[in-house]
Amino acid sequence: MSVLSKLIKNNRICIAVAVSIAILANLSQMIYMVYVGELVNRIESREQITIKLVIILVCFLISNVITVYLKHYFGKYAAEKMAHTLRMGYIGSLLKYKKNTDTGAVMSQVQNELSHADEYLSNIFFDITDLLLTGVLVFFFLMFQNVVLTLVIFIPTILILIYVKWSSRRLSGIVLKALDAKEKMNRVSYSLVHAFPAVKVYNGDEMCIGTYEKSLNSWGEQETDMERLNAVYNSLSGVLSRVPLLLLLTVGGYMVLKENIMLGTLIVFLNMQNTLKQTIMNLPSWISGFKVFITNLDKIHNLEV
Amino acid sequence: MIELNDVSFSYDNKMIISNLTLSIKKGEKIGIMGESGCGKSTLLKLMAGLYRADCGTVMVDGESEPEKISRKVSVVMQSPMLLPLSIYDNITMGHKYNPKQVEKVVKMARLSSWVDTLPDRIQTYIGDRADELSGGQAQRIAIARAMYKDSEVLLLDEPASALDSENSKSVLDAIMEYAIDKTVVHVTHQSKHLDGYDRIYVLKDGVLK
Amino acid sequence: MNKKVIRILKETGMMKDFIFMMILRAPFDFLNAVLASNMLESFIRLVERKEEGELFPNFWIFLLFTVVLFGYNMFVWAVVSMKINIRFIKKLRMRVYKSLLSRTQQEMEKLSAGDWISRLNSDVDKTDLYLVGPLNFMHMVISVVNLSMSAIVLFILNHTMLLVTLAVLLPFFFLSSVVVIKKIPVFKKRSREHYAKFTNWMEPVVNSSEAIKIFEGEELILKKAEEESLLIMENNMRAHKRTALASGINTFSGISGYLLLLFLGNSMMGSEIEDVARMFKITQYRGEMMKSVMMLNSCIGRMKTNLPGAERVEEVL
Repeated sequence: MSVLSKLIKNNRICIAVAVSIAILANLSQMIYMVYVGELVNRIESREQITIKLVIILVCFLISNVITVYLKHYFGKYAAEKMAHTLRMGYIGSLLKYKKNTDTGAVMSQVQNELSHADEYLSNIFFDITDLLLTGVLVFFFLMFQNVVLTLVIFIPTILILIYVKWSSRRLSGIVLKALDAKEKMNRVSYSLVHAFPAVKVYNGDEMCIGTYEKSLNSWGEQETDMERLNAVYNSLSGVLSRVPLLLLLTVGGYMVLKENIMLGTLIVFLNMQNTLKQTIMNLPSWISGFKVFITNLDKIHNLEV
Repeated sequence: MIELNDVSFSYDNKMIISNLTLSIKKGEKIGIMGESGCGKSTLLKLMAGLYRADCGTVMVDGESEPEKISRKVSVVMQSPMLLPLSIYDNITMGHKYNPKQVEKVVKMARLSSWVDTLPDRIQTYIGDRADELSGGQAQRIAIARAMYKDSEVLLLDEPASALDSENSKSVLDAIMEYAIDKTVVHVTHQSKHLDGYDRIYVLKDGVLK
Repeated sequence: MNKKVIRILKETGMMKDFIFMMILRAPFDFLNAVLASNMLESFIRLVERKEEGELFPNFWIFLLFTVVLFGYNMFVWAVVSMKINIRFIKKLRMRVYKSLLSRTQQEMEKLSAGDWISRLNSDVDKTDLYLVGPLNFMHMVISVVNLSMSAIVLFILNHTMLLVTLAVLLPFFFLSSVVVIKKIPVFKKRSREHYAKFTNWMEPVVNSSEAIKIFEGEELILKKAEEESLLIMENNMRAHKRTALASGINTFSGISGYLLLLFLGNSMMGSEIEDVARMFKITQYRGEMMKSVMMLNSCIGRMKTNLPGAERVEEVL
């Protein structure tokens, strides 16, 4: 994690701006939801929809569009700045620690670990940050709306999170093994390009094929283990993430019938829960992706020292 | 043993070898010198069957097809070009196992004392020990590989250029000891490496002088 | 699917397996959409009809359906899809490897070592990503199935609502395809080219460290590397700006479409739409159509990003 901390520290202003705008975008979305709830209540009770309500909804439509654009722009800008810091830090460390480093190992690291970490920062890192931020903000917003319904969503969600944490811990070791196997497989192919004239002159084709086949099979075994676990964990996670929605509809239904809440409030919860559901459904893969990212950063870090 | 007849070769539209004719008899030791980029390595690759001449013929040990020529020669290049396999595999390149022959070439390439210290001796996987391998050790494995193939023709492309003087002498001595009755073509830019060679040429502007 | 990718599938003999895998995976999203919309309708209707006692039995029924659906997903993923995918990668890698081995030194030297290594490793990965990676071809098919089936269901439920949904959806799809998809792969490609140039600075740093130290070349190398790194960032940001714009369009289309349906639903209540439960079922299918279009958009973009890798692999084969 030390490399990630350094990247965050070096770009703290950009990150702070991006996070602030992300908070603003989420707040706009939440207030809009409250007015949607009011609209639903009017539809259910067959009341007239006022011009004022229409104007407010249109204003929040515009506000949501603008803040979402800015959130993405500044979020990705911060992530790109971090990726730039990482790249420059890597070449800087190569220049600083001039030890007898194997060219093949460095090139493999640049092609694999650095490239993947770079891609991850550029394309995924901000989305995960936004996801976590949204999760926290939605929690407080819903608590403010109705404590019981919030707990109906969040208690199962916490259980799912515990499950996800447990499953990701089980996955991480396997992910690492699969990555190692892939690295070995890539190294074998790298060596063919590097030693091509020798392979030709010494007629080593058969041996090369045999070696590559072995490395492919070894990778295949690790990948099978990883994917099998991924399939089980993700499917289970899919089932579990449906439970809060079902509970919400059941408990929320009771509360509407008992006139504790209006149907509009239930719809607000349903819409917000939907955002959370998507988040939770994808959490295991995001976590395993984050683990790979951290592992890649650690491997880069190992070269520095 | 090696016949180059009116051979021309260009690379990226640049003429590297121009109408070159050369005849090397069995057992001869030929040195080819020249500045960097003059085409020495290209010439060697033509002799090794790694390149096909644009025009003219290259004949090595009775073969003129590049792929067949490759089967007839041994090459030691500047880079040892090792594979992430065991020392044994790098020497035999997966061909039939002949323990006595492997033992013999390991001795001749002056690898024995180092190999004996390794945990799995000749079966030690060098993919994991690449960092621990010195340039001299890696190049000696490449030489042992050439010796194991035991071709009549040995082509050397600055095999000692990346080594220090002590290692360089040791590596070249090992090669010459082995190649006493072989046909050797050695390209280098250092004349001191060509002591005792039968003929020494200089390659300039694609022509041997 | 791109012709070259089809040729890769044929070359590896995996075409039939791939189609089989697609058939098994394609209906999942739509089935999930059917389950979710019926669940919503059913619960809201129970509330509207004040049938309190039916709420819990309803909970168990839909939980059972969910378990069955995700059980199917797990079976397809772990038993069929994973095996086919790994077999495909192994076969493809081996084909590319053997193709390299069959070349002469002269042919090998037509491309740089880095280029060959990319073809052997990352380009093969990109081919796989193109086919089964997240938001690539596989998800494109899934989203097309979900989009068309949801449209059919929406047509059966209410013609007007389908027309309104399409009226918001189609301009949005056109706009985001023009604004987003066309240019992003170009920027991503440029970014990758600059990454390759940035990578080229690593080799001299490692191989010529002594020379760099003696001639104090650190600053020059850092400056040159930084130029490339900034160009990577610049091109990535151009792509991100368009993605941000697409997010804005998505939000606009999503919210305006939803509000329009609610306003229309309100005016049709009791006549063309029987109750609030049905109205929410309709919004659910609209959401699915919207989601599928967004997914389709992303898939097309990502497929374009991965396609050059697949094309290079096909070139090698």
